[in-house]
Amino acid sequence: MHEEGFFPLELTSDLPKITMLGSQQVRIEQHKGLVVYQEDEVALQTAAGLLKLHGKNLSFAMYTAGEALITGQIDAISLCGGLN
Amino acid sequence: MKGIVRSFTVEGLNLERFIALSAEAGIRFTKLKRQGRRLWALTGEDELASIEEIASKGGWRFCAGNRQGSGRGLDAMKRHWPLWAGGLLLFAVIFTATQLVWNIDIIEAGIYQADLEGFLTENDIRLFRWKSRIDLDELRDSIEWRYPDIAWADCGWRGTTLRITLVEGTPQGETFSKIGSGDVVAARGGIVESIVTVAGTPVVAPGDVIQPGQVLIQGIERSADETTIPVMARGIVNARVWDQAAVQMPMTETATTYTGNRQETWTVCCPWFDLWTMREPGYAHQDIRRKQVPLGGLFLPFTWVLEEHMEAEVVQKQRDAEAVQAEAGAAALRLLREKTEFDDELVDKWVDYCMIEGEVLEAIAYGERIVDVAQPRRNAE
Repeated sequence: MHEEGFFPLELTSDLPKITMLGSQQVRIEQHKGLVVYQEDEVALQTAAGLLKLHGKNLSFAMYTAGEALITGQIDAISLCGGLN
Repeated sequence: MKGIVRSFTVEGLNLERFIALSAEAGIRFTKLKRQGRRLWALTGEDELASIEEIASKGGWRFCAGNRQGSGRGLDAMKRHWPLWAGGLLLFAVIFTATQLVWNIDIIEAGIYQADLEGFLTENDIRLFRWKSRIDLDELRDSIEWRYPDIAWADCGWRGTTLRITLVEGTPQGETFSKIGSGDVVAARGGIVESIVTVAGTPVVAPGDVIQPGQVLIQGIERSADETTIPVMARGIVNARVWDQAAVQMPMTETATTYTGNRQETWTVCCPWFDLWTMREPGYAHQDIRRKQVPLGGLFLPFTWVLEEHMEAEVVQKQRDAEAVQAEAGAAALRLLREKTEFDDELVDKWVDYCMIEGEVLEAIAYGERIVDVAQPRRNAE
């Protein structure tokens, strides 16, 4: 990665940055939009594919066009397919 | 999210699209939560119009909720403005009331109480005046100027009470001149048994005979440089003292004997008069035995009265000398105990007798005890 340039990949590409804090909180940066939102499932479109979260009592502590902070009991997280 | 935060709900199908459209419009949500077909979230109040527009275009049912945080307080104030206004008014009334004088408390003024109350009235220091109009320092100075005998005055606030405390000066102690007046003198005469000097110089020793008022401890002390300095002498001087009590008792006693002459008289009496007046027998000395018999009771208050007069003769009999002496001695000792009130402290007691003109025996009881006879000399002496 270093040979590609000085800047880190998260700045030069639109790939999502997913930060998980235990099983209670997930922060997703650079998503492309909300696809599914149920109490037990959240799906976000990203440049790397469809990001799916399964759990219970899922809610958004914060949601903007590029960033989402999901809280609740997160049981599974998966990334399906990809646009690239 | 800056400014006032407000909640809202959106109901309908495909709520994900609503969220996506709102996010594309630059709207930021917090605490976004979905329950079935209903979405609940917080956002800035200035973005509510945009959200409502998006919802109406997309066919979602939009409903604005309450303000959150400080905005909720503003809403509550708007809704309950009479309550807030009443609270503010009450606060203003209480605050104003605390600025007034509600009570004036005068403490330990003693004899100055009434005068001080009048003084306060004269200076317009009364109830329901503004506290700020009363200068406590000036008031204190005025009181101390008015009552020079007090040590100091203290004026202060205790809530809405004006407290004025007068502290009386320490009463002047007994003054004494530096010559002799600090001496300890004898309260009564006797023989010195022991002496304990606390201050001063003793001038008597055990065994000395002392008279009332005699100096026992002199009020001077010798200092290290051989000079004398006046002091208030103090000490304990135990002395053997005597008390006495005298009782006189006649050697004869009066006795009565009947001569045998007797006379009976009777009459009928009612509350207003006697039917027959009784005739007195004319005895020089007599005993009368009287008997009353009611005749008619309450409705006829007549009484039959029988009197029996017995002539008596009064003679003087000589009493037994030893019996009189014993009786007089006991009476003298009893009187001595009553006089001294220190029977348990007596170290010795005895009785002397003397005959006065052959008819009266006088018994004199003496009690000996040891007491502290030291007393400070008074100024008047």
